[in-house]
Amino acid sequence: MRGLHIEHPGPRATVQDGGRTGFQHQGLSPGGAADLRAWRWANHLLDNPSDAACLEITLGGLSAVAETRLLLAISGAPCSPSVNGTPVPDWGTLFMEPGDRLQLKTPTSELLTYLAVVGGWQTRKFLGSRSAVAREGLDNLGVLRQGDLLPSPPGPDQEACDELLLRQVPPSFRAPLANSADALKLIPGPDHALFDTMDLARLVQSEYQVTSQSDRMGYRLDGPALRPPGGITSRGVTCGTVQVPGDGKPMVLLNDRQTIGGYPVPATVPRLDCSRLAQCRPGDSVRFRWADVAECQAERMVFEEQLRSFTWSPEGHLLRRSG
Amino acid sequence: MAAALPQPRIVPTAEDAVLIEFSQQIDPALTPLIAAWSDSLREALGHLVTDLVPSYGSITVYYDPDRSDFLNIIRSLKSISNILPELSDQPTGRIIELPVWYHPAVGPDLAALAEARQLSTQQVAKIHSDTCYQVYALGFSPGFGFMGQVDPAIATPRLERPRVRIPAGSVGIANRQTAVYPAVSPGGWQLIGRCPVRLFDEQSLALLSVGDRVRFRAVGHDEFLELGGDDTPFEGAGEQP
Repeated sequence: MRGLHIEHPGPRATVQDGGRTGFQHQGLSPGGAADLRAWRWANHLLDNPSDAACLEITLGGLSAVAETRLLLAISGAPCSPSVNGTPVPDWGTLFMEPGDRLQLKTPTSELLTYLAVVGGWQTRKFLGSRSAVAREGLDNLGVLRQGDLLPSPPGPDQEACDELLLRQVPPSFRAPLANSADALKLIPGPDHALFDTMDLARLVQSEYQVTSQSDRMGYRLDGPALRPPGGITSRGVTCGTVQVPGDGKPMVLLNDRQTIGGYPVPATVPRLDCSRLAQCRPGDSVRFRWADVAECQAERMVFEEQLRSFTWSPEGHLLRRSG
Repeated sequence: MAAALPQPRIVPTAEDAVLIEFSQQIDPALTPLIAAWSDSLREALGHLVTDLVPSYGSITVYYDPDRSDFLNIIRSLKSISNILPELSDQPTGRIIELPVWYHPAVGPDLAALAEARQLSTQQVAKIHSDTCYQVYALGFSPGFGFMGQVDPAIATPRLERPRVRIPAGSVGIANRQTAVYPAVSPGGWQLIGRCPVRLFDEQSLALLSVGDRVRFRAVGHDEFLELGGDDTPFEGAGEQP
């Protein structure tokens, strides 16, 4: 078998692509890579299709042995990756011969690290996606276990290795950390007008802490409570929907969320900021600021354009595509 | 018959989603219209829409923000909405019959509910299976359909503390809604029986759709087993929730 043999998956590792779209009306959670930016860069480093499946590794700790020659890319939370003990770059490509061992330490900051392979990991596809939503209990679409083999496509040939091997993503292209001065954006949500204006003001003037009740389904935050208005019936919820349950503490829904929810929604965090939030650990602080849909769509377009327009020179320098 | 449809609110709720909301209330009469709207929108905007989630009084439309923007989507939705109110409000969904073995062994809350309402367990089963339920929404887990309205005589709130593990097929009540758990999961609905039919599998996907109507049919133990039901007694049957 071709691929990567998982000796130890670390605290939690799942296969994720862009998610399972088109089936939310049946109650299927879309799942998908929680840090859209890091996941896209990992694939971009290998000239992969943009939707290729990567391994999403929580808090590092992974140890794996190559069954065959593998050309991989790594991005996201920096966890001092090494191959047979020799350090390799945090946001770059790496090569493994059969029998080589890749080891990731616990990241010094952030949470999620992405591991891509040329052509994408070939785990089971269900309804167009390889994304694992662990709680849905679908066969072979769950959390990676010790002894699993991550199947890889054939290749890479020598030419691809020569072309891809020196690539790295410079720090300036990565997302600012969520706990920096750069606040997470909030699009006014469907129940914005039902909330108390003082509560809404506190939402953007206060610090909120990430609690330990945070995972791929959603992040529960601790900070000033908002009084939730009543009388909402369940409706579709998106990645980034901010729910305010009875205790008034906001919860930001992420990729593995349920498809509908009945708590009032004062705001929605846009997708690229969800990516930053998903990199936070319990205890990290975040701040919010209001933004409108147009600003968030523009940011998303700029990100897509950046991926389209930048590639690497044979020496591994990131440069703007000519023409 | 022409539909008397409230003019919906159409607002962007995320950079990739627009909400079409008719009502904040649970209204069984609205569901056929929501289902019909969903079908029409899917047909008209299928090339732009990535997901379309009907629920109670609303439809959430998801789109790819790399291929369209919210002004374009809202404009499309508004122009389509001008022609949609002509839709019939006659129920369009299928009628699906679901067999249920109403028994304390698999419905750990059945006896207490019957006692509290001074009914026999058979009467609770009859009241539950006499109503034709509307499927309002799917969610919580794949194939989980929220249905109503449950007769007030047997309507009962969710448990204070949800159970950690509920067997697949469990039939529950939460206030005036009822549902069948498609798979093993945690849950807080009060359980009165078990259904042998699978509500979700990977080949045929979800059995129920929003707009379908469901009629439960009380079956005995033998028929329950013949239909493939698992009569393993509920493990926490004696526990105090």
